[in-house]
Amino acid sequence: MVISKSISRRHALKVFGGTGALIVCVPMGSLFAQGKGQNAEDLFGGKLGPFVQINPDNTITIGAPIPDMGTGVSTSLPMIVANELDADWNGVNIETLPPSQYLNEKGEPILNYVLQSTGGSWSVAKAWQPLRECGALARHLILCAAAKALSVSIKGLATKNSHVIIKSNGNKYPYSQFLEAAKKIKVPGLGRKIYRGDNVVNRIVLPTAAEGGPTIKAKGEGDIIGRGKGLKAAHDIVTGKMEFGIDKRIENQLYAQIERCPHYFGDVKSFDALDALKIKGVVDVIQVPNLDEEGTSKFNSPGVAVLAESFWAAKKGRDALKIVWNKGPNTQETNAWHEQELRNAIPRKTTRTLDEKGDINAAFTAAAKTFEEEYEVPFWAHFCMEPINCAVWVKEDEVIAKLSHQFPERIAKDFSQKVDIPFDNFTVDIGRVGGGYGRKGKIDFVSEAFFLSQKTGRAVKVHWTREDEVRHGFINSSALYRIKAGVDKEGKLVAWDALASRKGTAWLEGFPETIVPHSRLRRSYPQIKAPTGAWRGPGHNTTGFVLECMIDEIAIGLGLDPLDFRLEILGEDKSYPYTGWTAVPVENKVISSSRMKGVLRLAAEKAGWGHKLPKGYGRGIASCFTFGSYAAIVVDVSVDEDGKLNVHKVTGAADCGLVINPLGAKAQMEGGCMDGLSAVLYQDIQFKEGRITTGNFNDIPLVRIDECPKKFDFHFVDSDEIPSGLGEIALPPFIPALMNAIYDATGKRIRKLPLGNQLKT
Amino acid sequence: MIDLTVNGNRMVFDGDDEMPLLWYLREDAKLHGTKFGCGIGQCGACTVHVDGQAFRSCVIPMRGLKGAQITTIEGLVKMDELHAVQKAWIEEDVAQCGYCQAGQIMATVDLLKKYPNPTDQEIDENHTNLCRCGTYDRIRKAIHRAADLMKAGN
Ligand code: FES
Ligand code: FES
Repeated sequence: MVISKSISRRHALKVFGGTGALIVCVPMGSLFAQGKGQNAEDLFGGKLGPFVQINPDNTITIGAPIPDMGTGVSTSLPMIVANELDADWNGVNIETLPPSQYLNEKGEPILNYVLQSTGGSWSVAKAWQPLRECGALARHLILCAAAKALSVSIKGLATKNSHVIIKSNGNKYPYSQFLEAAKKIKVPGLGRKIYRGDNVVNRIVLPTAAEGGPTIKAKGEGDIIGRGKGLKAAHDIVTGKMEFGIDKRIENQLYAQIERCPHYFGDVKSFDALDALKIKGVVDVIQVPNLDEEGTSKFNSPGVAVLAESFWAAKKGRDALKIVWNKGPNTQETNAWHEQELRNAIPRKTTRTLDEKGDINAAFTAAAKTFEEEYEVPFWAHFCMEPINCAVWVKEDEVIAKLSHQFPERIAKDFSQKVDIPFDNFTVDIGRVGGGYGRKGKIDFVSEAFFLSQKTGRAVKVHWTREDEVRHGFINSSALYRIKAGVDKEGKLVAWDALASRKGTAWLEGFPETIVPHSRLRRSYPQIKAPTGAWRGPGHNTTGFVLECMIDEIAIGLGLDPLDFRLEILGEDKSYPYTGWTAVPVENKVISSSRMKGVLRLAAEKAGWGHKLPKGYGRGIASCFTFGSYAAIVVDVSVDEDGKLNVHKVTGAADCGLVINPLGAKAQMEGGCMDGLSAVLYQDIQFKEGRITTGNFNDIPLVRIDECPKKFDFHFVDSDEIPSGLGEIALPPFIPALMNAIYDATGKRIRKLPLGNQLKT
Repeated sequence: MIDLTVNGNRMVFDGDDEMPLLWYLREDAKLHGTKFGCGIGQCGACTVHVDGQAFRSCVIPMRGLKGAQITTIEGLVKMDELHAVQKAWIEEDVAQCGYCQAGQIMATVDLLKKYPNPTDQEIDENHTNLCRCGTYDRIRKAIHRAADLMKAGN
């Protein structure tokens, strides 16, 4: 590990100020530890805490620490700060913050203040507490300064719309009036503390109100949280000014296009670049090897890069390459082979029991009725609307990187050692992310850019095409599920045996398994080599479909109403331990039957569950727990005589704890459902000879406006729980709700995705 | 040598005339509001107006553009005033990631010329741009709102 140079005060200010793009290696604790000079000027370079800058015109600039890939976090996270600060939201502008981190004495990277990556629906869940504390700190500094200047006690002051108000006479003063004094206020007891979880974060620790620290608002206080706010970025988006990663450029950058080996784990055997080099604008042709020789899972796809002065020249050069591929060891892999392998893996010895309770065999023997079904899902690609891109310039003693990425902190973390350039000499500029869905958390494309910049000594922008993105992704795993359920004489679900044959985690935990007295979860290990990875709602995106359709099958098999049956299974109000991954802190890591029943009841009520539908129409319901949040969806469909599916209405309810921005929250619900619809109707990645043959939207068009339901109706449970995220919550229950609705309309049970022609027969 | 007008500015292009307009706009003219989504005319992220009509710029070679009048998303703002469609997009809070939205807006401006008061069915049949984030419900609302704003003289 490269240990950074000694800390200069200038560098320290850069970090605390948050405006500098540098990731600085500073043992941040030291400044706090000194006990003196603990004022905002010293600690934060004139900002009132890491995220708040009050401007002379009384507008407020709030830092958005996490990249926005369409989840709205560049609006919702600043809302948390602004609410604590009692800021005038119309006078708030947003600054996208670069990753801020440092290396501790052991060379371990530590994030400053807050987690800065996005995935697993964790952005709001993880940032919530640190951001409200930082907002409260800023307000506290203003109040202290105002109390002094106005000779009124803090208790005699109120704050609203970026103004301090004297309660006794109603006089108002803009925050900016107290800025200079506020920067100098010392807060005894202000400190930092390392929090270790999925990441290591050095958070600010505030003294309590009783110790003279800030007061943090209770639920319902403040004018901003819970009020629907439009995207702060909207103006820049609709005028085309917004810079996505793909729009960012480093001066004099070369454009690189890489013809990658289409066969996963294959390589370049030989190539001829003569014709490519003749294309005007082509500067160089460079072979790109496997960039992670130690790794066993697939990293980048080796290939041949054409570097040119423009995208177009690089593309023409690429088209002119003649490459002979070494197809690698997986040429047997086709869609049919994958399906068979999922099946073959089940009887193998490698199949493992993940969890077991009660006596599953006895329970099935005693059961009055058993149900057993198989469900299958294909591979889904990400299709991030903004194709993958990364511009890097590895200079002598400095790195500049401009890109779209879900984990900006990884750039310095993963490459500082590799390129032998100190951590604090990395400038990382993250653009708005045009869709991530898990794909843009990977580092393969960043490695390509580092490699090519090192080879050429120039700034290189690696620019993927749509086909590149589909064929060289880490896509959602296909799977075969077997579910067996046993019901006793009273119609109670008593036995549950679930098996996932899937490359990747099984994700079978939660309801109903936790609640059923006798249960077993198993996983098989198909030897599929197609590269897989996170895809919106990892695991849940397909287990939601399987578990919630199975529950429907049982309810219908017992002649029960699917909603009543679900409520019955959930039983008494109780919290159960949850062993799967969640975004919420460990102490909140339970799954609650009452919250699940709450969303089911709310969605059912709003959808008019139980009312009769016209002939040819059907209605389905489903609910899922995903990463700490609960959602239930009701879908209304009709199916024409020729088998055409029409999705008319989607009603949903979510319990994601406190909702920061209801308008943005609804957008996430809408988007999740549409993503589910696209997956069900279109996603079916095709393979041949161990490579993906699907390429572009002509193969998989995805849903357009004509297939979008004409009515969405989403509701949120008024909850006192901490926020727990929404980006991935709607899709897992949407797919089964849709399939259950199709069954209701047609009597056809869809157990294999995509839908394809299954309604046409 | 190809001379064309982009957002009211006279431009000259003398590069590879097979190059699609999209790359000219993004790289030569440095107008990055027009986006690349597929490169094969399937998604509409690259939609611009050529002589007042919406086209997918990723499949229009420069060669055919002699004397053409191009308008991109950057050219939609007139005298600092947003176009009604842009206003409607903000009012309906349409964007999620936002990447497709310049194309959606350019397609809508053209749609509203042909159907100043579109029904849902006319929107379904004529608005074909892809939004991977699935903002269609709000796009539909924004199209109707834009039609209203335009009628009201915006
Ligand atoms: S980029 Fe032109 S239509 Fe997709
Ligand atoms: S808003 Fe993200 S693709 Fe449309």
